[in-house]
Amino acid sequence: MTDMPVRDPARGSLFDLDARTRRRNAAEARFKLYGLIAVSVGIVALIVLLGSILANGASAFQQTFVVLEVELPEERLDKAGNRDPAEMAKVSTFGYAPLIAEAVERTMAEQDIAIQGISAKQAGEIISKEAPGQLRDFVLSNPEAVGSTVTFEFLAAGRIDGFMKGRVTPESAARDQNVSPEQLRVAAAFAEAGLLEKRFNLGFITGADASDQRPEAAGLGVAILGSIYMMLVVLVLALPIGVAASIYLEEFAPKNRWTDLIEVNISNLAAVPSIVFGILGLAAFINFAGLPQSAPVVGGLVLTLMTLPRIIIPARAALNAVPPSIRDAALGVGASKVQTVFHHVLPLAAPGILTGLIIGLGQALGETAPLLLIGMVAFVKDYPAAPPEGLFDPASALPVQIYNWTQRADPAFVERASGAIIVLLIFLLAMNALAIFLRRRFERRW
Amino acid sequence: MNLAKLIAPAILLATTFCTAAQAREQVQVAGSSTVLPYATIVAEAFGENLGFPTPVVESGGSSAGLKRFCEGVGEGTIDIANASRAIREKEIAECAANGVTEIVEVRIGYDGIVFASSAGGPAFAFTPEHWWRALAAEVVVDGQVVPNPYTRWDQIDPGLPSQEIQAFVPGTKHGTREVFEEKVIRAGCEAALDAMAALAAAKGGEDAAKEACIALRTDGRSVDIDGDYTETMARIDANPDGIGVFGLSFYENNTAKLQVATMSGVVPTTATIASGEYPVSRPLYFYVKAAHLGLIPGLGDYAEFFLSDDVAGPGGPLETYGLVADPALAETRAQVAAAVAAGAAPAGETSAAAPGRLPLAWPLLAVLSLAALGFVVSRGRALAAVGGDQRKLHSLPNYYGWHTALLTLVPALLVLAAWLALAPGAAGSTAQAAVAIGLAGLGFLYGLGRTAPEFRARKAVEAGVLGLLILAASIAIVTTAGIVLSMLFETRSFFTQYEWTRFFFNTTWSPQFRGNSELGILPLLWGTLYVSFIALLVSVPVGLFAAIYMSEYAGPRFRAVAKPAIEILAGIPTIVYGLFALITVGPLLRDYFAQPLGVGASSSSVMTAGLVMGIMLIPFVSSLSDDIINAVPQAMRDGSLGLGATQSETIRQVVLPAALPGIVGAVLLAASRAIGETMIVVLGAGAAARLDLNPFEAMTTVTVKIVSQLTGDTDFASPETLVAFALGLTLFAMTLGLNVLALWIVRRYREQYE
Repeated sequence: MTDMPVRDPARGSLFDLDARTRRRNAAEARFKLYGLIAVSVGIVALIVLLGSILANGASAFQQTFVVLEVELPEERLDKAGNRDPAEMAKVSTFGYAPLIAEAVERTMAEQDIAIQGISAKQAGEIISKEAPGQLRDFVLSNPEAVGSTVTFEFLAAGRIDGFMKGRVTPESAARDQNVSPEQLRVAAAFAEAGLLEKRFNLGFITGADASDQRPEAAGLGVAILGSIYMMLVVLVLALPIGVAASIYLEEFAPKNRWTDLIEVNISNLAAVPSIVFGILGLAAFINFAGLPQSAPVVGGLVLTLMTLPRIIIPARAALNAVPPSIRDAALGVGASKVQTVFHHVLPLAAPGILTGLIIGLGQALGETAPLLLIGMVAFVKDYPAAPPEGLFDPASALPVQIYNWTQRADPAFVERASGAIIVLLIFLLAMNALAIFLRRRFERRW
Repeated sequence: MNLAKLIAPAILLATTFCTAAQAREQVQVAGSSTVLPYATIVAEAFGENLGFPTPVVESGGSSAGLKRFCEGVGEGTIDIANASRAIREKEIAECAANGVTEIVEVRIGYDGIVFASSAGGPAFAFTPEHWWRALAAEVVVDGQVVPNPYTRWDQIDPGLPSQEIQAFVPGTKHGTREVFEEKVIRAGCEAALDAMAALAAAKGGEDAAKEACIALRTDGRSVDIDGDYTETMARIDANPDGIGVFGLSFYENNTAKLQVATMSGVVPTTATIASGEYPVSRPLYFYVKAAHLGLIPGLGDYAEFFLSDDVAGPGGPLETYGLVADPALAETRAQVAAAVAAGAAPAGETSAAAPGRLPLAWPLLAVLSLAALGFVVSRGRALAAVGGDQRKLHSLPNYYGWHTALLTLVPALLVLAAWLALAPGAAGSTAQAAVAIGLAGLGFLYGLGRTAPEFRARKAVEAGVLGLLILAASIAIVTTAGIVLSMLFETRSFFTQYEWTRFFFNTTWSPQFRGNSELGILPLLWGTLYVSFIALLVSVPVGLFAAIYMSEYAGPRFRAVAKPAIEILAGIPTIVYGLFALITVGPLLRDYFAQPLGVGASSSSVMTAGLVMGIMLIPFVSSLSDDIINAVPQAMRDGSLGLGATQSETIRQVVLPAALPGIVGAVLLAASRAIGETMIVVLGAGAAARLDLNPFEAMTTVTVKIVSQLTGDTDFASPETLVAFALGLTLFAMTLGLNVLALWIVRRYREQYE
């Protein structure tokens, strides 16, 4: 043990770091800090984005409603007096609109709301333009109500709703041609009398789209249904095709030109600009195959083609991650190659494949550009039927509805577009959470 | 149970086809985004009142609408095209060639075009000459033609406010642009004293002078907006000096934020526009396919309802919304009524074509049932042949069933699919049904005939399964072929109208309504590469370091939170990023970097779009790199650490070199995403095509122009629209090249550690 080198006392204690070690340790700390900064940049960006979306859109889930007693005079709604709905249908919503203005005026008189410089018509404009239609539908389905006075709950007009949410102020209303400060005072008086209140608005999630003149009535129902239908199509087509393609490439494909060609194609398609898929969809499915426009089935087909490579790539990784010993064992006891794959490898790779599938579906759900070219950017008011017929009915889709609303002139649509983004993000988060859960729960490490 | 799994979705599919053939019930409308709000207002009221389903109204530009309108007659085509310009001769010819011979033109009214600035700022009173002096590329000062020297409005006319010139004008895809050029810029040029004469002298001729009149300056003071009016307004929000061009109805909905400028002393209102006092307006139209009047229920009623007094008359919803009523409304109404009355008569014969497709479902169902029967019968027969003793069969009994089922199903379906792909019109013909069922029957009999105990059913089935797997994998190739084909024909017709050398080597991109456009791809390519480069400059270091931190340093709990959080960034719709770029990042960069450094005054710039796109790409780089770094075997790290290297030294000198090919692949994937991104660039980088090194200038990319040329108001058979396909094909070739490169790098340098 005497040949053990004796430490030179001139170099000092082991606990004193020399300059080089200090430099290396500093470099280590810096490097770690860079990493932490990078992660923070990502998370800060996420928080800022989500924060701005929530701040803009949360109010879309609330809406202002007005309770109003409306008189239904016989001489205007049913001139013949025989309560025949077919004849009463001749009175259009334009004929019902004055009833609402009169109801507002009467309520103002009853509640002693005296506002200078406002006509009956203007006072009536605090109620949504959706209201006459609502009234007409009620009368046509309850003809016996004609002649009586019925209490309704109407949406307030978009500007009044904006006033209740702080978006519209008396100052801005003074400049605004579509609302006057007097109308705001009427609304405030109604609110004080308990006839006008802001509350959660289910119609935003379940309702259909509305035109530029009725932002308060616009809802996401058709878009959500359309998106769900498209995802159904993608799921039904992309899952079997994607899994089959991955199995072939990962387990069976010989190394040859054809396989190379397929691989290059798949990784290329994963990166092709999504707008190009829109051009393909228009040419192949609508012009060539003659499928209907604005239909979820076409959107689903386009998104399937777009999503396939994005599903195949993780599915291949999942298959690849199954250790060779599993295959060897199965082959060893006499299973055929196909049996090995379908009975042993595929079930073990399933969680990974499923995760990739869900993330692929999530991306497809948020995709806008290809849908622009196949007629999905449309004003669709009627709900599509239940599948499978509904797949061929016109429908909208969530991201497209957002895009559509950001183009509308009425400022109230900005809030609704942000609200729709929140709904879309909730769907995306739910799908991602499911993927993470599946990964955690079923993933096996070898 | 396997059988049930197979048959259930197939039957679902078949029933889907069954119902696909339902007759269309609702009117379909497509076209101009200017007409869209009016059309939706009418469609909504129509659905409320007349008992028909609400018409479906698509936007997408006059050009796309008329193109779809002219595609032919039948339920698969639209019934009404909205247009913000009259249909062109060329388009009528194209329509006629496809059998759309009778077109009813309906002029619904006029759209006023107004100039508005931020409500807080000073008021403007313009003349057309002011606009020409402010925006023309070259103006005449003291009889000399000089490049536009003006930077502030009061330099043009002391009566105007002292405010920087910053105009947001509609891009060349918009019909509004044509009106703006004709009725404002050219009118201003002609009104300016001596301008035409001086320009004619300098340019050598009247025509050249007229062209020179409407050439707009390209130094960023006039910004083309390819989006819609909401984008123009967002830009004015971001830049209070801005003055934008809007439609009257848009302005009237936003009077709280915008104040309108007078033109030659006239305030734009529906009244002054209708009387012609206010000079800048354009007619709006919709076109009805007369052949559909008897085919689609409610089509005639919709057209008449649109023009009815309740809707289009004074005080009606259209006027309230800002449509300037057509003085000749009564005549138009009479014409439409006559056309509807004439068109509604010959119903019945064309609608007979609809149920013609229904039978397609029946051969499908028949084939499926035959396959199911084959499975059961063959399985039973194999078992019966050996008296129920499975061990005497070569394969498991199910394989015999599968064998027959596959033989029945696959050839019949393949032939059916091929037939449909080659001749989609023939769907549901009796011959098709006969061939499909015949093939299925043959397969059934053949399969049944081969079913014997010594038959190697498993091998046959497995060969079939392998074939199906190959087929599934080959869909990628079919898709690629489809993409190329779908763009090839249009691209070819583009190159017959426009020389390819000019397309690839011209350095100017300036599509014009009148034709004679310069459509050089170089400025677009430059913008694309520049924006992508900046995006990668942001995303690669951040993404890579994030991946390194998460795979090498972070604890499992941190990782479990941070990794999914960053991945959410990839899931946020790009339109959200676009709005973030426009409203937050753009003004920030302009006010704190570009203006203090004196490098630009535009809030939309390459830098803005690049930064925001970089954020979006972070997860693409980080997730993939993370996986790749994790795949580097632990033994290599242990070896390095054991030799005394610090962790960062291990990462830099051992882990990263080992992971490099995969990381390069990830970066190239991110690059092709950047090249293909659209929405962020539309909102963040602007629509100006230019070759410039300054990252604080507005530029544009290939994808943006694909969308804008396809959704514009230009003539749909003109090179200005067709160029989109040539751009698409070029882009496709570019991403293909990048991917081949990425694949080659990964293959060439990949290390195998197992």
